Amino acid sequence: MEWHEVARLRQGLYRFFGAALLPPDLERLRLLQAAAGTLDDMGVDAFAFARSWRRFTDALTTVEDPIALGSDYIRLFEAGVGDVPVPLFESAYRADARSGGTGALLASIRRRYADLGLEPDTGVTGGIDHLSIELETMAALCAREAEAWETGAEARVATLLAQERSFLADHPGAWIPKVTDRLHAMKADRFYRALGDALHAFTHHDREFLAVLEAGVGTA
Amino acid sequence: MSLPGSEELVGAPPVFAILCDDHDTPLPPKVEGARLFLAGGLCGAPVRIQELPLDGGDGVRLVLGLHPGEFELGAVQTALRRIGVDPLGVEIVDLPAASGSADRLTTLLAGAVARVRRFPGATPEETKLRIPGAFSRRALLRMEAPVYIGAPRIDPQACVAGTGCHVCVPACPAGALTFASGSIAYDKETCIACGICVTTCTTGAVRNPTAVPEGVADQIAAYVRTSQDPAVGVVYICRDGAIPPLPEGMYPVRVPCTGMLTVGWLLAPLTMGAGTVVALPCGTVGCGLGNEERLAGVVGDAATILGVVEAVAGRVGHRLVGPPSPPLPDLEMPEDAFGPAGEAAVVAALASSLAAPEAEIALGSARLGWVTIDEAVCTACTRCAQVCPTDALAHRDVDGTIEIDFDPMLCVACGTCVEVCPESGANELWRGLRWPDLVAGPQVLRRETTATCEVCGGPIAPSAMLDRIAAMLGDEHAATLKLISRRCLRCR
Repeated sequence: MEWHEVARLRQGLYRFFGAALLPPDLERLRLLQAAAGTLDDMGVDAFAFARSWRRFTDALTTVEDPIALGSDYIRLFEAGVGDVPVPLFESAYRADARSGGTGALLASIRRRYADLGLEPDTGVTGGIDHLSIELETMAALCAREAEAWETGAEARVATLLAQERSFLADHPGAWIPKVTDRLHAMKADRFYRALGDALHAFTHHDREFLAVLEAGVGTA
Repeated sequence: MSLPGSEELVGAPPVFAILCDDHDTPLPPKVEGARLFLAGGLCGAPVRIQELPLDGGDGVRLVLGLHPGEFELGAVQTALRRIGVDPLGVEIVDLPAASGSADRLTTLLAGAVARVRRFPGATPEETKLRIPGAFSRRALLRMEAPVYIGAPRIDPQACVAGTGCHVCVPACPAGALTFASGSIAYDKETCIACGICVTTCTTGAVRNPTAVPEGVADQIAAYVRTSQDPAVGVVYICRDGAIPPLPEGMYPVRVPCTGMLTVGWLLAPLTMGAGTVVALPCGTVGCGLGNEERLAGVVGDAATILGVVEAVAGRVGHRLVGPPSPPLPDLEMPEDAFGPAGEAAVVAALASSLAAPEAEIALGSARLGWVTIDEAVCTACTRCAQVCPTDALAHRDVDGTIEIDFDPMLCVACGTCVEVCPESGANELWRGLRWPDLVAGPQVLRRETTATCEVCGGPIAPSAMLDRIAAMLGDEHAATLKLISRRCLRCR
């Protein structure tokens, strides 16, 4: 597998997981099923997260009742008079009153997007700190990395790897384990439990992968 | 003799043994505990595994017989994931290591099957990535299939860092562990997954899915049980080292790094019927982290202990010298021989079955210790017993007297008791072996009366502690001293 192909695969996986965390209408499920097959063909099995990935894609391809799945989505991620059981917003997990609370966190995230030259469209998610947007950001960085590999711009590859590593560690990678823990604690159905496990396995692996790759590119 | 692994594991996943039947390696007609498949061209095309009917679901375990140099580990791991098998739970048997003998291969396969049956599964945190080959201009064009190895994980429920234990931190050759605020922080990026933390941990809280003590014990037991050789020996080999040609009767046991071996791991196979144990250092590769020196110290201590109990030190070494010695007579492997406090139990088993002389030998690397308490300094605060991770030191109140007991069978010489003692020099740890005290059972190291309250009769503090306070306060504070030494907190 060539490095640009690896970057494209990672881009696809981030986009895939970002979409899987949006409300599960029939069209989205159909697209996710098709995308899962494409990503499989791109070589997911070469990586350690493949087994968790496969457990999720098995759940995805055998969804029997999309309406029940939608209900589970609402129960886990949206409903609740008080707290949402499993919020998909970073501020729900990481806003610290001592350092300015939610407002300060959101401002820092917005600055981060601007530094990366990105402007999030929050039309679907309702907030810039939604997990889908953070994963979409990683996908955008991976796309740039793939282009850099394809054009032989090694210095730019190194810069992009550093950006990916830093954004992943500072944002989605820092709170995805908490989402996964809550999905287990809330006894989520097979689909969302497997989704949480696969996302955790992938992002945990990607942090390590980026560290190894960044160090390698730096010494080559 | 009852060997571990000879019983059926309840609910154990199905095991399949798949052997590449290229070349002329004589293959066995069956494999103990596994269904056997033969597959031509398996080394060059590991994807052929997909063609086999491996029914058993997600928990299936595999043993692969492959020819070294003819397969890429990354490609094999990829093929395994494609069929839903965790590659970390798969044992690869080097077919040439069978040296042309079907009996030998049968034994190797039985050992591998026994080991994979104990694979506990691996979380993402317990899987460590390696991209083969250094990054070069050529490597920048193309990624070779990544290879994954097992990485350690600390069970926060079992870790006793909260009481001050942090023996794993200085033991880690890569500096991947740090101790702060009563907990151990682990840096996976720095970690080299050598396994030293696994065998250093005083409570078994550190786990590496590819170096499970029960799996190693079962593998050795299966070798002993299955082999047709007149004597069986064990050769510990590093995960990254090639298996050299082994003498007849010697069987390999892979560990993440032989630097992780303890005296207990070296001597335990002798209590299971193995006659010789060899631990090979990295050889030409070398980790550069001092693990070879560590291994040399452990092998030296094991040989010294054997020399004391048997007057034959040649049963343990770090080089291959020939076929194994005959097994030692009438030995039984103690429970948890490969566990944190297994070292003393293994040594005691050897000593009880052989002629153990009365001796006292100092050992630098063995996890055997003897704690002494200086009564003139100790205030009987019992802090040492409270933090002892293995309960080798324990305290109790017997009719108004505080007793601190010491059980050398449980001591792993971690030194935590010395480190936490508020009275500098009250506790001393001597590293080594004392016959026959090791097997004499718990001993009272310290006995101190408890002063009682003149009002309610309840306990105030150990008398020695009050004496220490009196010495510190001097005559100027006689009234204060009188109060605190005669009345308990509630009645003051």
